[in-house]
Amino acid sequence: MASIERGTHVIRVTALAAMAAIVLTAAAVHAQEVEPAPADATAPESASQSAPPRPRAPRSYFRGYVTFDSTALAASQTFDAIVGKPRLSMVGGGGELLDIWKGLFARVAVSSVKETGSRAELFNGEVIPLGIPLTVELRPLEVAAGWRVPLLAGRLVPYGGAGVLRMGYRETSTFAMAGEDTSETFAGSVVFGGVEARIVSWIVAGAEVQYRTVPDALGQGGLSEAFGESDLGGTTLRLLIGIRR
Amino acid sequence: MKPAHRVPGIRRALLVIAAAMAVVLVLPLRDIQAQRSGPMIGRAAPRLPPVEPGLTIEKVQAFAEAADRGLDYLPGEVLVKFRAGVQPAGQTRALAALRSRPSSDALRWSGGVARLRDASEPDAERLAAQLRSQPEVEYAQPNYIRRVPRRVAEPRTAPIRTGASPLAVPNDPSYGDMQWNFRLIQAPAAWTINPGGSPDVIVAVLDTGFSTEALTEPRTLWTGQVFQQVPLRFATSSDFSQARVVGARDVAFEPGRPPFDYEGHGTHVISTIAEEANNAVALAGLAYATRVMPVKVCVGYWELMLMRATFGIPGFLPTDAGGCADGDIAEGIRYAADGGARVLNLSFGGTTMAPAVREAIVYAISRGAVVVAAMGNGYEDGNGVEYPAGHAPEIEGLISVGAVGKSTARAFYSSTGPHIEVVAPGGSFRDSDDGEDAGYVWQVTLYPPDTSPLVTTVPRFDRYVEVGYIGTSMAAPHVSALAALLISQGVTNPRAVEAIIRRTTRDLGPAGRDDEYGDGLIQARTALFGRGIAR
Repeated sequence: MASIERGTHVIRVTALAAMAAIVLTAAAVHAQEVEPAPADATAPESASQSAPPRPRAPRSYFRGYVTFDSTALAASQTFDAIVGKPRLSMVGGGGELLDIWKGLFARVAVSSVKETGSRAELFNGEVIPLGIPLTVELRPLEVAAGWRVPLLAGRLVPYGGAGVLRMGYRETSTFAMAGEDTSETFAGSVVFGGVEARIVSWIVAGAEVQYRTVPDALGQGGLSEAFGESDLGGTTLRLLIGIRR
Repeated sequence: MKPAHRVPGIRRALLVIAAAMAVVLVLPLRDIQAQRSGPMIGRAAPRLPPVEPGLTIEKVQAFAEAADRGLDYLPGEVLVKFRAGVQPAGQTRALAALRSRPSSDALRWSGGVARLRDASEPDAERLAAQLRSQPEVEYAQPNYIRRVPRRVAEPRTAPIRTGASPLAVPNDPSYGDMQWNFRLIQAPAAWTINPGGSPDVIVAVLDTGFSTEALTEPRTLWTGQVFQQVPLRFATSSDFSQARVVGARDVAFEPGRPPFDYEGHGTHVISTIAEEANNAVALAGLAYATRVMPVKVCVGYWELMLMRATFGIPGFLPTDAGGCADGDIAEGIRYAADGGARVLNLSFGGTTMAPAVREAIVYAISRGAVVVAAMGNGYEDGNGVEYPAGHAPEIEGLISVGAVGKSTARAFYSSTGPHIEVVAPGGSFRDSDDGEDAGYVWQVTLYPPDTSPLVTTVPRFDRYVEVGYIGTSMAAPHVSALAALLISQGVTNPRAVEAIIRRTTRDLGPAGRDDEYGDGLIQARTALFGRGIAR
């Protein structure tokens, strides 16, 4: 439990720091944009008028998006044994602050999935379902930043980034007694890369691959211990649709 | 005229009567039994192998001689298995090594193992050794006698209580007061997951029998001075529905007839496994929704006395005469496995290894059955290894069971050793802080004074009471019942059943496995709950 609390504390601090950095960066960029360079008080007005216009820094902006994730879990054998699938589909959403500074962007996203299965036993590699219903919920919250490189006049934008992950995990079983269900959060990290394309001026669609790791979240009991699987992360293929305000 | 002088005439007359009874009584009973085991409960009847003769007069005398001489085998009787492909001529050649030079026609076969009786050589160890030296023979062994573990205390009794208990679940009136043993292994919580198992799971109990019919019949019995016709009364347990009995079989005494219990041990074991629950009568069984298959492989004092009287042999036998012969055990194990039993309870043991029994156990496991064996009650009597429990470490799917008392301390009698795998409640009067009786394992069975040769010369087998026994015989059925519950939840591999039961024990004694408690005390609820993702 101590390690879980430490992990939660770390991710809270990291997330707050990332958010603060994003907000501060955004504020600075905004200040650059809204406050023109101070005019030289001694310069003749004509000179001022004849000077070429300074290139305007791109405005940072916010957009929201919805995501459709398919995650190949690191604990694939465990999940396959209990819920019958090694890959989970999640639906989520989030927001991105784009063009904070040049191609820098920041994002916050959350998704979730809820699956039902059966408690089971494992013997010589054979999984034996016991018919006791089990429900598992995963709720990853990611706070990340990255870099975008617009191509083709901004129609195609490859990007990449990294961030921290806060994985909410809940497991409940019928007939469970006190202490046998679990609801915890674990700290992890995520790296990602993808490409997005502008569909219309205010809608983009993108595809992204993520590698998530949430170490030591599993493996202390249950089938995850039997399989020796301790990571609650995995590889995620994400489809996203973003809407600019 | 002295009874001894009348013996030949009586013998001849009784032989005629016995033959007539076989035609008139036994054959119709077989039909009745076949009907009962099948359509009554709407399921296919198990495949019943042909009936073998049970307790012959030669075998009775062999049991008597074994009791007199303190032998652990039937004199002059061996079990022999020939190597694969050996034809009758080869068998006869191997048998020629014996002094009596019997032919292969003298062999009685059961499951590939032959029984041979050689009256000219009572030393069965010598017979077996002579056969083992023949190249045609895979193994040969005396027909060893195993015993339901000797009683370590006189049973306690109480009348059957009726009336639902308003507070307890199950509502059987004596459950709350007496069945500490089930609470010790988490039975109440296990029942919320799996209430008593499934009738699809059959638990075979190879033991002294289980009366499946109410019957009163005149039988001849030596009562001290003369042979007397006495009415033998049998009844079924009032706390067990006969609809949950399937394929009942008497291998050892009178094949073809119901496997009447003349002692009470088998009934107690069956009651621990599957006595009715939630019926407001007496006590509960752990796997009360399963079906049971009583297989009588043990005979005791009364069966031997009845058979001797049938053949006009006067006199009393030692009260501990009888036992469970390896030939009958092996045959019973194969019968149960072929008949669809998924769990076999063996609450008996002996200090000799028996290839025939071991082979039958391996066969049963290969047919999908879990086999459970009692460790034995000999801790304070030399603490020798008893078999078949002694085979447990080398056979996956065979579980050896020691006993603990109410405090979870090892019961004072429970044998120990590297072969112990788990412990279960067997009861003890030494570690119960609320009276000796409260430390026993209580179930409904025959009223002990009715069946004790120390108390009566005319027994009856029709009165059931709540009886407290202690012993590893009582511990083993807890494990058998738990195995039945696991199987009803879908764990069909006997090796997996053993692995789960052992993995989910509560560790007792020194941390980890030890020779007193094995892996620890079985925990029914933990076993049934299985594993989730993180917990």
